[in-house]
Amino acid sequence: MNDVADRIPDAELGERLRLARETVKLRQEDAARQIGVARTTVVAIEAGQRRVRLDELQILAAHYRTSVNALLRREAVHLDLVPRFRRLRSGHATAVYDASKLLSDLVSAEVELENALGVKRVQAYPPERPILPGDVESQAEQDAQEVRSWLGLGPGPLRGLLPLLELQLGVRLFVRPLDQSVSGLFAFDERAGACMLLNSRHSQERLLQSALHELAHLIATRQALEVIIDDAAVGSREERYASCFARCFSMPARSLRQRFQDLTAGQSHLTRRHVILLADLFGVSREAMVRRLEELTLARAGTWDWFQANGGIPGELVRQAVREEGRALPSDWSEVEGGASRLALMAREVWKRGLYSEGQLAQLLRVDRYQMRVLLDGAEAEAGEADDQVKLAR
Amino acid sequence: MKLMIKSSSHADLHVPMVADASVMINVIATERAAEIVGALRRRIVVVENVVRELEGGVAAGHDQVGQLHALVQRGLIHRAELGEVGLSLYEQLVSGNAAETLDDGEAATISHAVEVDGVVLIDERKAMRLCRERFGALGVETSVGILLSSEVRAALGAEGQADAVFEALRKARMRVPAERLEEVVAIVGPQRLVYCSSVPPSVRSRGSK
Repeated sequence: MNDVADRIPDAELGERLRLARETVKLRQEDAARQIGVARTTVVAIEAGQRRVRLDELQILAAHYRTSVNALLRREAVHLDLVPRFRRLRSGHATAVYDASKLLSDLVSAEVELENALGVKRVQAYPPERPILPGDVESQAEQDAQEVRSWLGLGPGPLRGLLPLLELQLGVRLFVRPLDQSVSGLFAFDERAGACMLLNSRHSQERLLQSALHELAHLIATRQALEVIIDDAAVGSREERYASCFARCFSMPARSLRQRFQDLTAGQSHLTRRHVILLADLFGVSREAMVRRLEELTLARAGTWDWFQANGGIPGELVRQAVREEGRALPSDWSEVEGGASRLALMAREVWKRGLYSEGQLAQLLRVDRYQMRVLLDGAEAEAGEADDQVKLAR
Repeated sequence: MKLMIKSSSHADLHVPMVADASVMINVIATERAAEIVGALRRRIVVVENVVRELEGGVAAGHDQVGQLHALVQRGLIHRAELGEVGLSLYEQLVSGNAAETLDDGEAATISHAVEVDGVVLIDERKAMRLCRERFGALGVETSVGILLSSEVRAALGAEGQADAVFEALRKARMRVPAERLEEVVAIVGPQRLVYCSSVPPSVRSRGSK
C-alpha cells in the first residue's frame, strides 16, 4: 500500500523538479508565479528543504510538460540531455528543442523499462577513431571500410542498418516524426550510452544517410552532442568527415565500381535508368548516387547538374511527396516506432506482466492512446497463449 | 443483460459513472457516442486530467477531444475536478513504485469514482487490479460491458449495437475481457472479427473458415 511515507525523498523530488524546469527553460520565478509562492520557496523545494504539495505538483507537472506520476514514480529516470543540446546553439531552436526533449524522454523510458525487466543493455560499439591531422576524406573512406569489416558486413549494399545499430551495436535508436529541418540527433550519455534519434518524415534514403552520419559521430567524435540540420553548411572537419564516412559506408568504392561495370557494360552513355537502378540497389537517393559516381570518376564532374538542367530524374519527387503527405492511423507498429523495436517490445512485456499501465506507457513512450494500442496490439493474446512450447530457454 | 457492475448499487440510476480516457476513446470510436451515453441514463463524468490527456494526444484523423466537448456541451457528459478526498487517494495512486501506481488520468478517474461513491469505467487491466486490491467495494465496468448492455441494445437496436462494438474494435482496438469474448463473437459475428486485431488470433481465425 502506498502511503505518503512511500513518497520519494524530498531531495530527489526536488532534483527531478529542477531538471524538469530546466528542460522546458523556465526560470524559478516563472515556476513560483505558477504556484503562487515566492521564488525562495521554489529554491527550497528544489533543494529538498520544503515539501511540495500535491496541488503544486499538478500545476508544475502541466507546465513542465510531464505528469505527476512521472515525477513521483520511484523508478522514473530523469536525464539532462535537453540542457546539453541547448548549449549547442545550432539554429532552428524550437525544432531542436522538441527533438532533444523527445530523445531525452525516449532514452529515459528505455532505461526505466530495462531496469523493470532486469535487462542489462550490452554496448558493443566499434573502437573510437578520433580524426587525425591530414586529409579528412581519405581517413573517412578508410574508417568506413574498416568499420564495415569490423561489423562483419560483406562488400555489397547495406541491408538492415537500423536493426544493426540497435541490436548489434547496442545503440539506443529511435525513429520518430520530427520537424522537417531536423535529420537527427546524436548524444552520448555516461549512464545510457550512445543515443540516436532519426526523422521518420524523411525518405528511407535520407534516413540511412543520417544514421550513417550519426554512426560517424559515434566513431570519431563520441563525446560531443550532435544535431544534424537540413541547411547546415558542411564546413568543419568533423562535418566533412561524417558526410564522407556516410557515403563511403553506403556506397563502398569497389562494390560500386563492380556493379557500375556490370550495369553499363556494352553501353555508350550513362542514363537515368542506370542511376535509378544503382540508387535503389544501394538504398541511397539518386543525387547521392550520381555525386558518388562523380567522386569515383565513373561519371564526369557536373553530371548531377546536367540531369537537373534536363528535367531531373523522375520518380524521386513522386516518392518524396508520398512520404511527406503523411498517413492517418498507423497500421502497424513499425510505423509508430519506425523500425527501431526494442522499446516497443519491452513496453509490451511490462504491460503483459501488469507492471505498467497503458496510460503510463503512453506517457513514457510519448505516443497517444491510439498509437499505444497499436504497440500493444495482440499482447494480451500473447500473454494468454504463452505456454512452454514457446518459452525462451535462458 | 443489464450493466454488470460489481457493486450493490448497480441498478441505481443516481450512481455516477466516472470514465477513463480509454473508455471515452472507445465510445467515441463507435460514432454513436451521444446515443450510447444517453441510453445509460446515468451521470457520466470525466475528470479534468482525462480531458487534458485527450487534448494532448490527438490521433491523426480523429477528433476525440472535439467530440468530447460536444458531449459536454449537450449535457451528456460532465467534467469534474478532484475534491479533498479524491486528491488524497490520487496521491496514493501516483506516488510510489511503478507497479503500484498509475498514470495521472487513470489515477484521477478511480479516485473521483471513490470520492463520489460512483462506478469507474475503465479497461486497463492493471488499473482494475489496483481497484480490486484497494477499493474492493468500488463498482467497475468496461467499455465492452457498456456496449453490450441491454440499455444500449434498446437504444441502438441489435444491428446498431453490433456495428458500434465492431467500430470500437476496428478503429480503437478496444480491449475485450476474456469472459466477454464469446458474447462479442456472437454479436459482431466471426466474419467481421477477422478485421479486429485486438481480438485473439484463435478467435479471429474462425471467421476465415
